[in-house]
Amino acid sequence: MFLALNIANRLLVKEADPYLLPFAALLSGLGLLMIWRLKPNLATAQSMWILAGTIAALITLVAVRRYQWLKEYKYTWAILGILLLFSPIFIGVERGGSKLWLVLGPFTFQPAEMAKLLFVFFLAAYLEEKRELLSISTRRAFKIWLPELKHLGPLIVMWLMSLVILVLERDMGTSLLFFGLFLAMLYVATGRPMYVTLGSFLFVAGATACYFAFSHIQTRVDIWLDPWMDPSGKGYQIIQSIFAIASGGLAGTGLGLGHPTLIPAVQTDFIFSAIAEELGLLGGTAIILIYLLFISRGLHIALSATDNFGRLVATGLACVFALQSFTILGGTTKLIPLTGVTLPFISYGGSSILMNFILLALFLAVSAKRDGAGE
Amino acid sequence: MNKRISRLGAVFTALFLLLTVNLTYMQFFAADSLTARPENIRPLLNDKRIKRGDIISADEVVLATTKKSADGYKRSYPKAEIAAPITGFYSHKYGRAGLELTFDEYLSGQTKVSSIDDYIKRLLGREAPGNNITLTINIELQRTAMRALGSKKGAIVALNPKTGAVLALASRPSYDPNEVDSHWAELSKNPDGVMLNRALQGRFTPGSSFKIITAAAALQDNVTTVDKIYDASSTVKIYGGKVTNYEGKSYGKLSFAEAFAKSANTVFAQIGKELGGAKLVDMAKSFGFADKIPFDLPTAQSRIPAASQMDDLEVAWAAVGQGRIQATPLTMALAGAAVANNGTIMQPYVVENIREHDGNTVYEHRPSTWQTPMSQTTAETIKSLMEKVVSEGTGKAARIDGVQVAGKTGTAEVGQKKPHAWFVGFAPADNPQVAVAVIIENGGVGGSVAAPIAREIILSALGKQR
Repeated sequence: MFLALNIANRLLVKEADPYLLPFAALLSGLGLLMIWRLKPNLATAQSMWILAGTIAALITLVAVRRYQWLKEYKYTWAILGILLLFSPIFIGVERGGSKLWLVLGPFTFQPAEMAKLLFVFFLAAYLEEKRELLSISTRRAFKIWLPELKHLGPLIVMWLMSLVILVLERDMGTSLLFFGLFLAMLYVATGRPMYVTLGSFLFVAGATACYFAFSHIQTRVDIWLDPWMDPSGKGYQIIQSIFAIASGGLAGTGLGLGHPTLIPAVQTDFIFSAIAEELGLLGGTAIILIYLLFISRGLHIALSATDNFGRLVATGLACVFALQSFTILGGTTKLIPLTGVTLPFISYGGSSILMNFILLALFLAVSAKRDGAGE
Repeated sequence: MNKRISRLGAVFTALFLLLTVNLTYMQFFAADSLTARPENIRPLLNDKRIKRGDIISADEVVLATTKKSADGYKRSYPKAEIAAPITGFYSHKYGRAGLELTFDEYLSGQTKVSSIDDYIKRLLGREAPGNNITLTINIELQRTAMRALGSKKGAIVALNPKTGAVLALASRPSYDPNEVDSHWAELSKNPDGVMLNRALQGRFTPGSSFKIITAAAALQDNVTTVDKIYDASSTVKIYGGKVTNYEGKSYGKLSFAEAFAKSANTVFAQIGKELGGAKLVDMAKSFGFADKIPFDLPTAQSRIPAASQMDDLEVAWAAVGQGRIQATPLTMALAGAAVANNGTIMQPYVVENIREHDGNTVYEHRPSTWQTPMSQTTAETIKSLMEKVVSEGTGKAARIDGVQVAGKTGTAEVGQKKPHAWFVGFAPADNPQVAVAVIIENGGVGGSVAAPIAREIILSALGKQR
């Protein structure tokens, strides 16, 4: 059913990048298969979300075919984004220690997912307009380019915003993602590594302060450093994930033959551990490489875009996608501290699926425009 | 701007390659150690899905089998504590022991995937049940041995000296492997060590049963002959110390053969002194004191101090099997078997063959020589000495009408407690079918405690084998 829609989708935008849609179809198809195997009662809901995702992608494609209009409303996106991002603090519900959820009738909704896209629009538009200013008006001190103080405003604002997410919503993943996105786009737009250095320094300082000030962040890091200190309590989830991955070996146990359901939240954040267990190193590596290919296609679209706004939008989208998938892939494999974000296209979850299909449509729109202009 | 986008791409590529490197480490290099961690219940969950193979005695009695229960397969041991020294136990919670441990891969059928075909089978969930193991154990003889030990602490090893096939492997106290899950605390903390297989892992002072080895060294080295006459008074002085006969008996003048039959310590002390530590230790090592005996079940190493660490007095005591010498019952049974089998020790084994569930043989034991500590001539001489022990010496309690039994008793003194009672022997002397070692821990005098038990075992073994 959704496969048919995918084909229709592909026909409709055939002038666009030919790789992204098959990747998305593959990933969401695999995700559906895994959810069917892990939590069969959620599989129908997930296929409905994928269906809704493809429809949302179609609508987006129609709406933003000429995506330049998006930059006219950049402050609208910023305000909307901030509202979405911070709404859970006031009217949200807490789940799994993080306050990220809005309840709308029968649905729960993670507004941060949509806010990510809106911020990409805002930053792309803002930086396109200000990039000359931000990169030229610098002064030289000790042979290093230093930006003028007044232009540090946006940096400070983003920094504070990330810390607010970290502290009030208890969401390290989203916090890191927003700030990383901002720094990457700032660097690409201005070409001043100083921003990145300064920004990273600020974030590390802020995060360190939070580590000592807030116990839940401390706990997360401590578990990452040594999960074996509390294997049946706080370290249980990551240890079960490690065991699942280890038992996969080279070729995996085979679908349905592992024990991935031992991992709490396996269908959302930890779905990659289940894949690594049942499909092994070969399957796991294939998935990682598909994500990398998806990102490289995204950056390729950015490189080929004919205008700076399109270029920055595509870069931003690629960053969102890359940071999000790296955060959760690294988290479940204990490469970096675990933060609860979903694995794009594969994890169970409505907001995540919708957001990623819209992201896909935006990529296609930017790439389609390029080809249209080229003809 | 494009250059910077490419750079960003390079950073992402590096990050994702780091992910694959880390994944490779976890799934390939660290996989086994992670899987082996005690917190990991996956191996046990996997085991519950597998129908383990059966363990079957030589006379086709099932000693261990697998039954289906509500939450997966469960192991069952129809012969309970009788066969426990051989089967060991298999528990989802507490691991495994005995053959369940040493032949785990065969029993579970979980040998490493060796072919694409195996892998496809595994993917399709068509895992074959485990392999069945057939033993050399004769369950009737095993039961006789376990009953003969009764409530006493001790061990019995009976084997075929011509092939090395172990016919019975008894150890008391024993335990019921069916109760491991329900009674773990009391079984594992039992002060008598019910889970210790004394026959293979118990180390005991061998006492006079060690004189078989001393005699082999002395005869092989021409230090003595059967007819050589010795002074066998109650005490012999050696470098400021003394060696005494058991309970201080004095025998006057004795030939070497008579001294062996009567187990006169003073004579063997003189021989030990004359032989020297190095030759005695070398002979013990070629009888299997050098290393753990390779076997289908875990064994402990029998011990003898290095010659350089013994003074003459200790060498003299070592020649009578006292001091820092410690032997496992299996080692002593093999010493008897060496004499029975013309000076050659066959590689001992308990697993006859292993078959897949469809009857396909995957392993079959072929008898092979393990050690040759002495010449055939020496073995013949010691055989005649050991016949004399049973016919007119300390081992008369092992005599059987119509069957010539050869043996050597041992009464190993262990400080304040009662001595260990030993009997090492074989029968029939002219065509040995069974070699046996019996030890009763702190049981008393070998000739009156261990010899009658050995007689029972030999009777049972010959009755079955004829």
